Amino acid sequence: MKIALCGNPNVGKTTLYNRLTHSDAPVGNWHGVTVDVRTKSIGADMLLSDLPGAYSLTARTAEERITRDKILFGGYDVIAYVAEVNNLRRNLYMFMQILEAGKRAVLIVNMMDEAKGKVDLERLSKRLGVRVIGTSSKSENPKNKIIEAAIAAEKHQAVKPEYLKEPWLVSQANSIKTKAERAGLSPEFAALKIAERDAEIIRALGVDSERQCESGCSSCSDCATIDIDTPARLRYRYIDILLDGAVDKPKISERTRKIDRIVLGKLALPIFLAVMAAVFVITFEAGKPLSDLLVRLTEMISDSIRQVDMTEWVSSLLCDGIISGVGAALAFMPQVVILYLLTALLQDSGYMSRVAFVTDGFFKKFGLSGRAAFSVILGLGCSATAVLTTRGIAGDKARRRAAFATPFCPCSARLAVFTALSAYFGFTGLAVAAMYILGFAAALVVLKVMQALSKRTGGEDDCLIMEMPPYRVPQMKRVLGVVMRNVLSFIARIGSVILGVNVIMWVLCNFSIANGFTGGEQTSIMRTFSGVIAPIFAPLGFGNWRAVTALISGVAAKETVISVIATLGGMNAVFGSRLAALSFMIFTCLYVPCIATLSALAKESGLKSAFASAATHTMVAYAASLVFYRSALLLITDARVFAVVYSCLTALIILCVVYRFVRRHRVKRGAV
Amino acid sequence: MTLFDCNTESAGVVGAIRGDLETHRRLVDMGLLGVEYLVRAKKKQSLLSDFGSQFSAVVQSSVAEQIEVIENRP
Repeated sequence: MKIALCGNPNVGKTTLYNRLTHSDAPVGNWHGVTVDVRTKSIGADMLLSDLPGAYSLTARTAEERITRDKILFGGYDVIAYVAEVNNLRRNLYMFMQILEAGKRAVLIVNMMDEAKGKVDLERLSKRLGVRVIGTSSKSENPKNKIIEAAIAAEKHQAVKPEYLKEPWLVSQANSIKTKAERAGLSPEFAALKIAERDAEIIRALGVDSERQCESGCSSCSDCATIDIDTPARLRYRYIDILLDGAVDKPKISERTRKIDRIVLGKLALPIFLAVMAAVFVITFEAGKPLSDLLVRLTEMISDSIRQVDMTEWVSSLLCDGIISGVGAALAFMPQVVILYLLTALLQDSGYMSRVAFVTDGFFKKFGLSGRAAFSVILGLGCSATAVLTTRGIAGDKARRRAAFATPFCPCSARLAVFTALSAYFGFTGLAVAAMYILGFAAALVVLKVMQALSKRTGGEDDCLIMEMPPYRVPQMKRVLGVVMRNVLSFIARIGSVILGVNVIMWVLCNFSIANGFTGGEQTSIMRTFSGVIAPIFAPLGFGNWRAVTALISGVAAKETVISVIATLGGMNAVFGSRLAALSFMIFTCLYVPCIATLSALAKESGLKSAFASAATHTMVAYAASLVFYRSALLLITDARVFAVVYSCLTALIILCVVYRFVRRHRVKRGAV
Repeated sequence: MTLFDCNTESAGVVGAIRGDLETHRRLVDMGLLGVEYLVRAKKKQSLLSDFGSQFSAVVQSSVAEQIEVIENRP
């Protein structure tokens, strides 16, 4: 049996799915977290699929289309619909559409522990004619109840809401019965979709909705009173009857209103910036002592192994290839864990949704909405995940722009590189913060350019209306679950990709075709290859084979940049100066994203977009590093020339800004 | 009067929904027709409002201009 788990966004579907399947899919107290369909077995011959959240079977975003198509044509035996107890009126809207479509269903009312008032599930079940199950994160696992309900639903006819007996609907349904059945749709559902002018369903049916009434309907006086809102009114009227007396009307939490008055008031942006600053400061400062300890531990283990009498290449592989390399990546796990913990707390509390509102005006200037803030913030953890979440952005062009620009925001892997370089060369936390500002600035510039290009071909609007969940006290079980999943994923990446890349890099850097093991003293395979392209990076201050090798390895996973540097002799061997290290940091911040991110981009926007992204990232990184390194060298060698050059540039920028301002003012005065 | 014209703490009832087909249908699907509203925060590009007793949403200004409201008299 195939069961689909679906419902509105942010009702707890994925949390429930994780409980039922003992999985660890990502969850968050905002909508748009689930963007893909996950399927797992929950019993003998029983599969459960978690579908992305949707408000209606009239799809607007890519993820809503996935959900609609899966529900209507996915061949599921039973639809397990999840609704939130305090939002039943709105949540049941899509459930009505599912029943109209003739699907067998069970209703799962979630978050029962947060119910604000009486909830009589038995009465609701009787009125609906379907099994209704109450669940919460604190109740026992509802798996057996859901399976039992699904088996019972499968054995019976699908339940149809009473309003499907309306005379005008019955006659409409009869008139399009053949076409509806050919399209695999229930006639009543099809008739309602035609009344709603759902273009995609109308196209699937192959009907001309404008002429339908004249040609097929037998009671035109009824059709004359049917407008586009009639189906919605029918559904909500029915839902109100269902809920009357069975469920108390909850009120919006006063706590949420009080907090929002402060958080979304005049101090909204300063509060947001302060929160983000606090996240970064805590991440670096709290993680540093443990990080330093791990670095010392790695060195101790490496030194101990070198004392043991063994073959030179084995000792080198263990110490330089594996321990130094993997240890270097592992040493920054404390910062990564703290960053994940803090962002998970913010997500679970409900604050992250407010971020979308606070930053909405800002993102609008770049052709997006505050919805893009979700992807940007998720990108602080992992760029690949962030690219996937752009699927929830409405508007194809807006989604592509967000997916293209998001990888510029530094992820946790790049944080490991920044932290390693800062720790070794004594850069302050400001240098790391500057990398984040640089990454965001680069993303904004790219967005602006893409917006300007897209205006020539016509832009697109983004999210119309975005639900704001109430504030919740973060549930530590859920938060720690998120952190644990990300930490395990990080460790898995270290154990697989980073270890693998380090070993391969060690082999390529310590062996030559002619002489076998060289111990890195003589020319090796990688040294020959990297040596050919290293001069390209000479203007940036790090034109040596070791730095280039580290950058090449970073395409697999960014953490390998520091682990490969450790394998190749350490920071001093790679960088001739602090300036070169800073230039390298800038390049690493902006250059090509990792393979996982490029794959996600290829999946969302096509292979061409992924290649374009890799090229754009590399060009931007090169330009930024070049400007920085050459300017810094100029400042050191000839401060006077530096002052003249940059004064002229600044004057030019000011002139351009003034000119634009005056021109805009003249246009406005002309318009008035 | 539209939702866009309302100030913070303005309350009333949603009277009608205008706009293009897709916007109209999406807002009607979300159950906004005939529900009570309370504007909780307002910015240039969007506003945050409670709709009914059950949910809050951020509404883009261009969409708020399509939602006709009947404001409660103070």
